[in-house]
Amino acid sequence: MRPLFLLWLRLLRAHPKTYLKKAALYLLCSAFIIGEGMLLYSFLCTQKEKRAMLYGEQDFLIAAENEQTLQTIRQTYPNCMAGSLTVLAYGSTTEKLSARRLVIGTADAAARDIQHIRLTAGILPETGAQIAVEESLLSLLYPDADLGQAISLTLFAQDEQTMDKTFTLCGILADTSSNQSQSDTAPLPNALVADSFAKEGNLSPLYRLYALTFAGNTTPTLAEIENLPGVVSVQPNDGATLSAALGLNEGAFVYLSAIAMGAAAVFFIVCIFTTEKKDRSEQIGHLKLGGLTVADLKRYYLWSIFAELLPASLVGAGLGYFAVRWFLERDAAPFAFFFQPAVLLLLWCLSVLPVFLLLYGSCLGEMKASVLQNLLYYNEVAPSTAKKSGYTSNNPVLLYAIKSYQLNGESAGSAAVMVFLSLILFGCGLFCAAAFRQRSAQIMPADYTLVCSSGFYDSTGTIAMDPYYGISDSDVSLLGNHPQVQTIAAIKRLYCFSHEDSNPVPFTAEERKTFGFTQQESLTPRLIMGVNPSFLTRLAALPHEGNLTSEALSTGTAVLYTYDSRSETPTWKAGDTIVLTAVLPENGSWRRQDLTVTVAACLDTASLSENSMDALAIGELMWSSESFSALQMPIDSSFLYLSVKNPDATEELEGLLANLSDWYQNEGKHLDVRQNLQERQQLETLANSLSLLSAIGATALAVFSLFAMALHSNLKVNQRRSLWGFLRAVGLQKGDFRRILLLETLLEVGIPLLLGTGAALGICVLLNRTFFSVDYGSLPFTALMLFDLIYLALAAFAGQLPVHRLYHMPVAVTIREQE
Amino acid sequence: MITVNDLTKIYNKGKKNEVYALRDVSLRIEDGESVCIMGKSGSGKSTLLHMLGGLDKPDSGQIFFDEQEITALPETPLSVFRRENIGYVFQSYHLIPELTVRANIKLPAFLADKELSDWYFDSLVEQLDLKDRLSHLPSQLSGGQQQRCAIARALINRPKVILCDEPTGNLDSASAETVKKVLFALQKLYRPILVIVTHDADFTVLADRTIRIADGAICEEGCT
Repeated sequence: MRPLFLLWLRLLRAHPKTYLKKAALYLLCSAFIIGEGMLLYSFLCTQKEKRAMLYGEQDFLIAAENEQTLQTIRQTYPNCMAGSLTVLAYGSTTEKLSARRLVIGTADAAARDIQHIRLTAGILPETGAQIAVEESLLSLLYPDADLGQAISLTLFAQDEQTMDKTFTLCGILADTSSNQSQSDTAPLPNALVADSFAKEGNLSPLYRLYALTFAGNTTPTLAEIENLPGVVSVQPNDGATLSAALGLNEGAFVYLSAIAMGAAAVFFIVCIFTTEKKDRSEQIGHLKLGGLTVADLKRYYLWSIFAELLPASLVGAGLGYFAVRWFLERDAAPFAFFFQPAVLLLLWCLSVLPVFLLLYGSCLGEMKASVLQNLLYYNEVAPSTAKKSGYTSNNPVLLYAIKSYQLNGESAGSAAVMVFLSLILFGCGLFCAAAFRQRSAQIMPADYTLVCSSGFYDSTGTIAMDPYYGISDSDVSLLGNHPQVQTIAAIKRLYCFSHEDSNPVPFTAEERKTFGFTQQESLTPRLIMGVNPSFLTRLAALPHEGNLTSEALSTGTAVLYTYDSRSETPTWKAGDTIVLTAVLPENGSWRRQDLTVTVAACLDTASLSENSMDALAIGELMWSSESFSALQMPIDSSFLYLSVKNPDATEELEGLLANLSDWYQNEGKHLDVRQNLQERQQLETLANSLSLLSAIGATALAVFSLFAMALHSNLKVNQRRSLWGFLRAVGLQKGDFRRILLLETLLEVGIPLLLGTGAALGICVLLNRTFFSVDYGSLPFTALMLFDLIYLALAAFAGQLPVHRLYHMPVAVTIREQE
Repeated sequence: MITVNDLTKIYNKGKKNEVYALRDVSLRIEDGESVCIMGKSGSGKSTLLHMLGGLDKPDSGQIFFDEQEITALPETPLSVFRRENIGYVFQSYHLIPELTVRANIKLPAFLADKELSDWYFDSLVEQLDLKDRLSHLPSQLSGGQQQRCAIARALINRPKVILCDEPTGNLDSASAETVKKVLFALQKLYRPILVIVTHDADFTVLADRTIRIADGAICEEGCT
């Protein structure tokens, strides 16, 4: 081994620049892969920690009959860790009327640990008179509360026991209960008391919950847990699903990092491989001539690759590690720094092993060739692959460019792959962002949507009962007058029938009897929508016929007829009379009420923006809500659309909506409050992040690709320098040479650009069909074309870089290199 | 006619390893003349050939081709001049491995965008005995065949000057003999100026004149 080592040392000293060039590439490759990997690992750990803080680390949250259930679980699953939570009472404030209630209970240390129940201020309760409450609940019920303050509550405990109790606020808890429990019947405690509280008050638990987490791969299935004796209900941890649904998971980052790492690895490996190939083949030929056997060569290259690769990659690993550490330990770091030696080792192996295997494998391949083949690797008399190419042309530029591309196309592979990937990344990212924006605008023009219903359909299935379970006029008025509300549209609906033959409802004989219809009546379903007067005033600004005023539409005898002239012809015109029959519930049965209404005004909605809040509230027949009062029909509002004045100042309104929601729930109604504003903001943030990440990722890849292209172009010109010299000798001009290189570059880049653009658009169409179903106008065709053109221009420029240098050398010098 | 006046070429000028490749070389070659340039390795004979062909620029002195000074031409007109007036034959052939023999021979005509007479092409390949090898690739030919292909390529544009840099340097004696014969036969036929740089003394017998160079200067000149 010693002679081989000395030989390596001698060659190293003879060509220090070559070694430094290789070492720089190894170093960069290792630094980039380790840096990127450490960033990804830190990001994943940060997200995992955030998720654990929000959603807890419990695999399941179970409600159980008694302690015995927990014993059974522990016996069945020895690797199970369990925390116990006991709910002792519900509490409501005696100072402020609110539907929100406190769920008062205890949590042992294991439960607090598993579910990350933690204090943001103060201490945990130590005596029976102390209480710690979750932050958001506290700010809603006691906006000015401070630690040490007395809190008076009315408690509702087991066996309908009610008592008034005054606690001292000792701690403020982070909001975890609403994120970790989705159960209405057995929610997690949002206020903690000491264990002594139950003993002092002689309270027995309302219910018990256990937070379970299983070590390793021993987590049982949901069904297995549900089937355990004594288990009342099971809630799996939905943290990952919820964060994914909100677009807050790590998917996009992992996706981009993987592409960036892959592209960088391909790029560096191709660079290293291409840089070494020529020199190595010749070197192998010389070493064979010098008397080295294949076994010697194997040992020599094993040593030389390790000796050259290891120091540089270790330095690169350190560089990558410290760069990421510095970046993430700054105050403005986007996420925290996490470190595991095993991860670093794995990343280092990932950066070194492929390079080593590729280089050594390639050496082994070249060792099998004859000495002559090794020495003549790039010599023009060496066996050529030219037979594969039958192309011929009278145009010398085209002839040589195409021949050259056909025969050297593979060397531009890394650049082509990267530009292909960057196009897909760019196109799909932009399309997804545009689709999110379009959906956000299409689906949710209102900031808040309130839907109030009975929560179920009436058994008849044809006559909805929802209007009689809606939001009361006083609540609509309360919301309409709220200082944070900009506009409001409250919709009351009356289901009725017109006497026409088109699309009649196939009532059975029994149903006709129930509702008071004759057997001969042909009844087509219609819906009269009652809206607040301010909404009608806004509609009056649109082109219409007839008298569109809230006064005219408040009598219960006149309706507004709306239609969309783009897709339908109007059924009625202003002045027409329509006879309608409504069916109303009364004293446990049904009352038929006939209405004769006149079409007071006709409105064409074609000019109404589809993305406006008003478009949501448009119905075929409309009048003012006051018409229902005039007809003595006690109908509440089923839908309420709200838009706010300032999206950043909605706390009070949200508090009011939360109170209303709880209130209606207690009343046996179902008020669904959709925070469209927040969702829209989240979607827009997601869209912006996607656009930004895609653009950054695609730009990084494109820059890598251009760099690879420039390197490849330089390399191919240098490798064929004597050929260019000869062609110049026989009359090839600078312009011809530029055209040859331009054509080569265009062919090398044009094909991946074309394929990449096609693939990006194809994937966008596929994504649209599978997930979005939005307008195809959102396809990033222009952006992709622009990307292609810019890339093409830059690649053409990069391809021309070696021309000047080559033409700076006399022809004789370039020819002599081959002589 | 080629006229060379006081041609000097210095490699690594101003550096420690400065070398005078040519020192004030002057010579004159008449139209249709064949000249053999001989000398030891490193004597400057190839440098002189490159200068004559406009492949390199001298540090001082001029080269006239008839009345035109080619040493004063910028790169683009010089390449046009080379394309139209000069044919090269190199020691290592410089055939393009991806192109067939036919395409290699026709390459200068392609580059010059010249219409090629089929009769001329056919007679050339016939005389060079390449007729059966036209669709072969250079790697499928022997050294002698490759050099004959290079000769055909040098003659394809009917240049006024053929410059040969050790044309038989890579060949065995039989192949070298064939190349010599065919080269001079074609020179007699088409009458270009033929300048051959060589170590092979047999060329001195075939050429009209022999010039000997030593240390960058002409030391002996005479007719054969």
